[in-house]
Amino acid sequence: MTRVTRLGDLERAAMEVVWEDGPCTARSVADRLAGRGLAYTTWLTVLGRLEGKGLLRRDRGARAHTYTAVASREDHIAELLQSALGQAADREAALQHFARSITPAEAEALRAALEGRRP
Amino acid sequence: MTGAAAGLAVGLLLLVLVAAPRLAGAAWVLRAPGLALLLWQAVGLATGLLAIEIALTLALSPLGPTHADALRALGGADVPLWAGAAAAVGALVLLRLLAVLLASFAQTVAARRRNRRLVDLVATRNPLLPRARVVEHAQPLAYCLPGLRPRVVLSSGVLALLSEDEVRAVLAHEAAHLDQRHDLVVLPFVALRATFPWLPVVRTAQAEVALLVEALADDRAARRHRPEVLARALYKVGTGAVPQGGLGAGGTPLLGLDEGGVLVRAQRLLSPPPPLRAGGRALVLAAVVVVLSLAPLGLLLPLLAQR
Repeated sequence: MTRVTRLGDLERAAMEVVWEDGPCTARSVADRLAGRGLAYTTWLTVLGRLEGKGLLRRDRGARAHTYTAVASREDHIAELLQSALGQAADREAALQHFARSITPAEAEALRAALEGRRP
Repeated sequence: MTGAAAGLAVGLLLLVLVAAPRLAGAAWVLRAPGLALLLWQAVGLATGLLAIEIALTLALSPLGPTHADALRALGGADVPLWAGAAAAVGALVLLRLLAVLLASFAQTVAARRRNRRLVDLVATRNPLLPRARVVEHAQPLAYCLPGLRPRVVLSSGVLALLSEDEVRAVLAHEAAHLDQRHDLVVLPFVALRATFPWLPVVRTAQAEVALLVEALADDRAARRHRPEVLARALYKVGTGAVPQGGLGAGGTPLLGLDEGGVLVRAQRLLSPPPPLRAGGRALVLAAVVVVLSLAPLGLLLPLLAQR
């Protein structure tokens, strides 16, 4: 499982770029996020931090390092769902779901109750 | 002091074999979920304290007729070896239970942190729903992550399934969990269940407390939103589908089938039971006081037995 540590806003923005554009250099991330008005070196730091957190992999390029996402956004979402839908008791305490899945029989009874309300 | 320990054990058994099952089976709890939770907490705390008292009393019993005498003797030299061994075993059991309890706390907190980090990585924010994080996934999902940095998480699937007023009602429900820190009420009971997974009463207590916390959050949400809107959201999220009319089946009560409590909650929202009246509330509060006084009174038992 990927270890994910708390992400700052910049780190999230950089991850978005890498997920959308594929492998990026610090320069290309800085260009894509030029609207934020941050220096190239700042993005270099952000990418380095993401690499340290195990979210990006760095490859040596001819001129500059390129950064590749270790896992796709969908992979992370799949992991999120897995951890959110676990049945273990400690998970039940960890997250509070609005409603657990109900059986067809329960659904039938509930639907009847809901319809009884309507004029 | 063995007589005192027996007295304490009677108190403990009364709580576990009489009070807890009766509370779990009572109908009034859904009319006053907050008070019922208070009583569950009192029963849980008193049971734990009595168990510790029994172990201590048994361990000290060979040393003197009262706790005070026994502690004085403990300071002296003439402690029989077997009494020391008994006390050591008692202490080890206690430490082991405490360790399992703490491990369960730690696991819960770690699972929450792991999930929150993933949420912060992949979820987007919607300016129309400032408190929620939205995860792009078809599966209907609505939950909250309590803690110091709380999150309310919705999937795009649940947003597609629910109407706007239903989404707002769900968010109000989750906000109630976070604002009232229901996780702190639930946590000890989940840890207790992790410690004694083979005790049915512990399982019952945890399930009851989980249901009551949901009822409390439903009540809070139903203050600002129409209860039937929340009930409809329960159906949609529970089944992952929009209710289709026309089958025309009658409402049959389902006893013992509704494990997650979704049906009980929906029925409670659709035809709310009358709130517990002042007399009933006073009775429950009196029960809380009685239960909480069991452990302190238990300390006096050896003195009574001495007379």
